Amino acid sequence: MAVRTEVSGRRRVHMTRLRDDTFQRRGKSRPRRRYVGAVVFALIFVSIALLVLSRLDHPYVAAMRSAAAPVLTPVLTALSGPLAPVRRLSERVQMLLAEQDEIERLRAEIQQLRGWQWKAEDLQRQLNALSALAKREPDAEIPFITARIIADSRGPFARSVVIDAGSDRGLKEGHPVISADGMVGRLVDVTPAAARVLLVTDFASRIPVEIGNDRIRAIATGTNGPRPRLKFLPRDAVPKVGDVVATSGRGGLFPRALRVGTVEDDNGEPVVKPFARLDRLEFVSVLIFESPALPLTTGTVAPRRVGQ
Amino acid sequence: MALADQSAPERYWVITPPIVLALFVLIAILPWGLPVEARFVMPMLPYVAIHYWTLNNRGLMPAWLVFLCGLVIDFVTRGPLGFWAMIFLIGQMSALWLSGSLGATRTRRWLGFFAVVALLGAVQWLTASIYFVTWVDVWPFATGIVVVACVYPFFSLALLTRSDEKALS
Repeated sequence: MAVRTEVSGRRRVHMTRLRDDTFQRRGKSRPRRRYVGAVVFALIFVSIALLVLSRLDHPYVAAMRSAAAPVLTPVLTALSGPLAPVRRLSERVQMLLAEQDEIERLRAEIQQLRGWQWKAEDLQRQLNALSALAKREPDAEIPFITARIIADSRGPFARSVVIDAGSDRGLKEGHPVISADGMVGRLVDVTPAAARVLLVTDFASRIPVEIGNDRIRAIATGTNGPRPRLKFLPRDAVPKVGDVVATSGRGGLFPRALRVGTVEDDNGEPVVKPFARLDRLEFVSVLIFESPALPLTTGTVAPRRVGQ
Repeated sequence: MALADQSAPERYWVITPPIVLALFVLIAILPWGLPVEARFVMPMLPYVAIHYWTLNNRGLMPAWLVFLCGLVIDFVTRGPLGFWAMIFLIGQMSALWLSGSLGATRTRRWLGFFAVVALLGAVQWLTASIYFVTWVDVWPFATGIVVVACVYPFFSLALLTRSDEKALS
């Protein structure tokens, strides 16, 4: 009984303190409230300054990101592994919602692919015969590594994902990234244990592509929306809805013939519907593709340093 | 008052806000395989905790913690540094301003939260438009506002059984 009275007494004291803090602060702690307001205001100013530096792409911002990466990457790697079942569940729910459309689409695609398979085998035979005749050097196979997604983009800005492989596994900035479905993007930031992939949908993404059998050249330009736009099309070129868009290899930044997506119409403007399901990525492959164009630029552009 | 001098319930309430905030930040940044539309909602989740504790016990939600939480989201999502920190701090400032004028009824508190989240959505849209020098699509921001506004009542209900809510009533 005595214990109960003591507990109830402590609880009453606790309640009184909380009530004091909640209500009396309005009257008695006006200077403290002003102080808190001033701190918040000062931090808003710091945030805006950081935002401006980010917009100017200041090297300090890059240095801060590089410094934060070794701290955040192990946490993200440790936490994203156990998330796999949740991701699969989320994927299954979304698939169930769109199941009927998906089945119809897959049926049509299987029919189309059967026809293509026969054509491809026939073309391969012809190509082998002609290559032997012309003594053509065969295309070098591109090595690749597979990595897991440990964080993805949020909010109105960058469309990017972080993978759990970095320079320790031979990755470099610019390496193309693909999934089983098609082109995903390219590496933009590489740290020893992690790297950031700029998705094809990002505002800063520019990919030289070819469209359809006519091989119309264009640049697939990210908009931060789900469909990159096709820009710099030749005059009079009219890409057809449904035409396959693949990398052209022009400029040497990406290998040729990586599937990007299909042409769609967006109010009269041609856009690309990516093959890769960029919101459901779990594993991706990074192609260790050394750009043949890179040695041409070496020495012409000096890397920026902090403070420059 | 040092943590060791505090009673068990007081200790509980001192460590709860940073833990809940860290949890919301993790939920916001981890890859859940959610559809594209959800990406505008997730980073706003930590603001639910920031708003709640700024109104109920602002000493437990210091501005530096809010700033740090925004910066972590900026680092991980590779958005411009300072964006989410600025959004959360503007939200905290609005909540501070509201704490003097809002009553203790749940409806008024929810309306206050909705007003602040709508303001934050507008600031996000405007900042993104200025950043990209083009008018970005407004609908994902609007959807984000509605979804986050719906989360708040559940969050405050989950904490309603606690003693400080009783003290408020």
